[in-house]
Amino acid sequence: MAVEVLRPVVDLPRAGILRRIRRAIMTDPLALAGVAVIVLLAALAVFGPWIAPYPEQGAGQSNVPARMLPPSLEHPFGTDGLGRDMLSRVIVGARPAVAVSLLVVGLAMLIGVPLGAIAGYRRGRLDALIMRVTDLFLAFPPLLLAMVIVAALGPGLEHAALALAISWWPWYARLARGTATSLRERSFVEAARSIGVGDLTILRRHVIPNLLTPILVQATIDIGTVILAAGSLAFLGLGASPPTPDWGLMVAEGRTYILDQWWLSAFPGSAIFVVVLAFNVVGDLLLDVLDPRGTR
Amino acid sequence: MHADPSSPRTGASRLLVLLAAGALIVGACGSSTATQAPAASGETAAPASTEPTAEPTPSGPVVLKVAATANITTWDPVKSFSTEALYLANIYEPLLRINPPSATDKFTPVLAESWSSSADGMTWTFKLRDGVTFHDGEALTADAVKQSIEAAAEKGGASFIWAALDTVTAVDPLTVELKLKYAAPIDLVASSLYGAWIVSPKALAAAAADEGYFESGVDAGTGPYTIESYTPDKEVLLAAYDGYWGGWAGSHYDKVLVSITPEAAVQQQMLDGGEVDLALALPAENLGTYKDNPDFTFIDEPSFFNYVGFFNTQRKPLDDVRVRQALSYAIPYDDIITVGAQGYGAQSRGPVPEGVFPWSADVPQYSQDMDKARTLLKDAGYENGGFSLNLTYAAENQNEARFAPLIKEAYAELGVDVTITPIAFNQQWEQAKGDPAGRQDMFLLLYWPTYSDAGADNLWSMFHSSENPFFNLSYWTNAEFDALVDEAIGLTATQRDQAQAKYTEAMQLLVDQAPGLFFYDTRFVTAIPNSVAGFEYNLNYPFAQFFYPMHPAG
Amino acid sequence: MTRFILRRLAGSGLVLLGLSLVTFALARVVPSNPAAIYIGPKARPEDIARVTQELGLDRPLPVQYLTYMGDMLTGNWGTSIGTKRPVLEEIFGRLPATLELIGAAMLLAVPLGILLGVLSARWQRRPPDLVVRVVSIVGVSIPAFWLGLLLQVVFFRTLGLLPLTGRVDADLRFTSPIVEVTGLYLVDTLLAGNWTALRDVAWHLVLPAVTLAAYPIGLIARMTRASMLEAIGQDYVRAARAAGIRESLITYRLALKNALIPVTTVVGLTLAYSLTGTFFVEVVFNWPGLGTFAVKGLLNLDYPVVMGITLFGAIAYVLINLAVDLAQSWLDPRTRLA
Repeated sequence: MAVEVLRPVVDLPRAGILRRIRRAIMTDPLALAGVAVIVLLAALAVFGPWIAPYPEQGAGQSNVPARMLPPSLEHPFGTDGLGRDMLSRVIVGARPAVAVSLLVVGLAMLIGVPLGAIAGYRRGRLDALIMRVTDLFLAFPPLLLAMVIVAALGPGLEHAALALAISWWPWYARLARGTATSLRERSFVEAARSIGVGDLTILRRHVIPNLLTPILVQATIDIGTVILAAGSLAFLGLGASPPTPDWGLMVAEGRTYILDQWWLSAFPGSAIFVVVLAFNVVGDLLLDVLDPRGTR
Repeated sequence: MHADPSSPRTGASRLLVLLAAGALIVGACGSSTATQAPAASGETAAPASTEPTAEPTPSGPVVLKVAATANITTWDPVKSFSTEALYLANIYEPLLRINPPSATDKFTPVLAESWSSSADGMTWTFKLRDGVTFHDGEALTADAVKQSIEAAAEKGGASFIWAALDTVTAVDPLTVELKLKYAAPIDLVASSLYGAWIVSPKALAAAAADEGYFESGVDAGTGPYTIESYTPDKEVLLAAYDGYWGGWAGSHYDKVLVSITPEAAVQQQMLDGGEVDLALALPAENLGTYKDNPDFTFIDEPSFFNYVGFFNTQRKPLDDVRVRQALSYAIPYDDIITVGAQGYGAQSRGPVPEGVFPWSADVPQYSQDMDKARTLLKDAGYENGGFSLNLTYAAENQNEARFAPLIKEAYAELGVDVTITPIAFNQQWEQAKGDPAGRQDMFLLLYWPTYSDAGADNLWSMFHSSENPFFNLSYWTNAEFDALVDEAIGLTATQRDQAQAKYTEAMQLLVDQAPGLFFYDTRFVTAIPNSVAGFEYNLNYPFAQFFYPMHPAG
Repeated sequence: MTRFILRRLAGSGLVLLGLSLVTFALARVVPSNPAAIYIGPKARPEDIARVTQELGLDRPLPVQYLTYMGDMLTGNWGTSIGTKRPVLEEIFGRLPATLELIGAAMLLAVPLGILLGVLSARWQRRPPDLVVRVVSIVGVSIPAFWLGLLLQVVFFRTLGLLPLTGRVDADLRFTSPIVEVTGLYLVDTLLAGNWTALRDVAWHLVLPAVTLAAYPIGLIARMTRASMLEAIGQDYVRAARAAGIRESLITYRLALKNALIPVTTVVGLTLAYSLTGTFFVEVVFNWPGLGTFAVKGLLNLDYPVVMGITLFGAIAYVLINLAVDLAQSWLDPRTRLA
């Protein structure tokens, strides 16, 4: 289906790919900044509670007398309705953001990769069946299926992650299938088959390990998109629920105060924006390097 | 007796109300648009006589433009049990209207001209106003009243308010007699905002045949306004009913255009930009700016609403009164009011909001005292806490979302771990009524009485024992409390002072036993531009706003 | 060509059939007891039993599915629990508002996106290219709901230029009412020559349309740039260049014509994106369209609305994709083999 154009498909890796990626990043200041943001995000996700100026407030402790303070030196991002330091909240929010995106991408891979590998390797009816199922899942406008699932399960970060994974796996199934189809014709697979190695073993030993690289590259690129999707769900009230320090939720909580206490929504929203931007910049670069046509 | 637990307010309508209240909370503190023209205004025999004289009528209709959060869950006046009361209160009328606590007369006769009750409170007679017509041209008769009350008692959204009713008889074309199964304050019931509208019999018959009869915006009341047009989620246009019995002498608005505007910030924008004359839910955090503005009248009054929390008294360790008292002492009441109501609230005295019968200043309050809390916990054998509680609140309610973390934090200081679960109100309530093993430990609730008797409603509904839980979500059983409330309810119709004394005693017992937390009564806060005259506030009619007495100033 | 169309149509038909299965499953699985949800929590057991029978919930699932399909095909999409009105009526009533928003966003995004893409390709690796690349990557990365809020702060609060929310001023109906013909207010006011209303409608449309257009602008610009570069690299363009035809003529005529084929796809895709993208924009701007209706239905578990919106959205999505495929096959016969 035409939808695929929305998501660039990573081609098979070639020799020296890592070196080329490194060189491309070093020569592109934008990409370098993107990598820096991603490294920072990872650091905040791991060490956030030690970095935040008011870690207990980041975790949720209130300070009512200091509520709704505009940005200042003491509180660069201002304080929220419970008097919590917004900078700390945003820093602590890195962890749920990363956790959700890893969970979604991981789950989606767990479902999609085996199915796609089987479809591509076996071909025939099974392939057709699996691909029709992915068609079905991809026939919903983006996020709509996830919204419906969260609405049914009730709000919560885990539910949002599950819902996103359910609507995300077909992409990986498609990608895995494409690669598996080409692997099928490779000599080492054919050799294994000719000496009577079973299909399952071939899938496990030769097909899946070899298609993991493009999948992992795609998954890395997707992390930003998943953070955006999870934030969007939370904004509608169909994602994380309070008191999770979730960026999308913070934007939603601050929305009623947007005109006068703009900092409540502005900073958590900018965190989403910067992270997604970073992943997109780096993703573009990866695709540039990997794109056989070299047109980017 | 009384509030028949099988039928009180539907969860669905409460849910919608919660949504509306949620939007309001964003804005005006969470109480809703409860207001009306009380005794003074034109609904009595001498319509409009007490109002300021009108300015010369300009050419074209005089339109009042209003921004309000109120959505319509149904246009059926019998089923109505939610925010549409804002509109229905201007389209339909009850027999009586209850006045605000400050008024000298308790009631204003509306469709009834006079009324009386027998000494035992078992028989009530209403003399109807002559010459009243419904918007569909039918005349108001005793038979119409009989049919309306019977429909409300049978299938009304608030049918339980008529639980005491035995029979309604049309004695003569303008006299209705109500016989009861037990003594009950029918004057209060007949002035309810829900389940007490008098509706044209023709429309009642049509609605009986077709459930959706009213939903396109059809009406058949006796009130001053009629629905001219209705666009769901967008606007309601009301137009004056020429044949209104109160007449249109003096100054009134010919039309009222209500823009359904869920966002308080947007309402403020519309008001400041002159797009509307009146905004019923201004953002509480910005209300201060209107306080000193000479162009506005600032209104800050008690309301019908309060926030309560239920402890699951059937579960350890909450079955121990000392634990419940400790947890009541641990609540940071002031901070909760600051955060939840932007300061526009007052700590509750038990479950009855101030200004509503049988509120009493003699009911004590807890104030935060962590040392006392620790001592009580120690006495109960939980010196360093060491237990955890699961708290649920309605996800729709932004106030609860804002203050719930403060409870968690305060309890953490006692070593009590609280897990906060926001879920849709319907699910929250279903879970609370369901399998005891799956119930919550603490339940936050925004409550308000259906009509102006918080003894028969709040006290009975929330804390009287019952076989199956409905709104008594503490699952609390206390024979002494039950007896006091039952006695008081029996006395309300005939000896209200004695009823009040019993209720006060019951509430003192209740607060001491602490099966629940009594956070705060919300306040009704808004700013009315001086260009609109005749705005009066009546806490007995939450969600309603009476447009008839209002008129352009000058 | 005809065979290709038929094949694609059959494929879409299959997907739609599958979709109906999924939405049916959602409607039966989402509420633990559909009958109880239908009559509300006040229900007594005997009411639930009655409604269960009335709704046919006691019949075997395949029978229920057939009934459901029959209802869907005959336009009976159920009644909203929230508004008590037929879901299909509600959907069509709100559709014009959403179409007007999406249409305005696309009118903004397509020309602007293509222009940016062409500029970028024309001056590849030079400052305009860099600027366009930054703009387009920002466009696809910015959370629409957040962008909307920022625009509100800047253009309403700070500058006081544009209205905060809504489709028209509330008092417009008294000053110069809009006579609804198409439901698209821009068109209706234009046809009626109602300039006051037109201005009001346009002012209200600016911020939501810009917010919704951000992502499509970014995507279209990127895709145009890539296809242009590909086209420029191709033999016939090189030949033209060698023959001495002026550079700008090459870029604008030959390359653009070819580059537009994949761009058609992207335009279709961004249109499809807008189906849910509009949810967020409508919520932020309190726009009285399908998005606000859908989100309200989702939050209140108004399951007839949830089903209706899901099915409606999916059908629209499938149709847009079908249209894109057909347009592409018409423009570029090679794709028919795919």
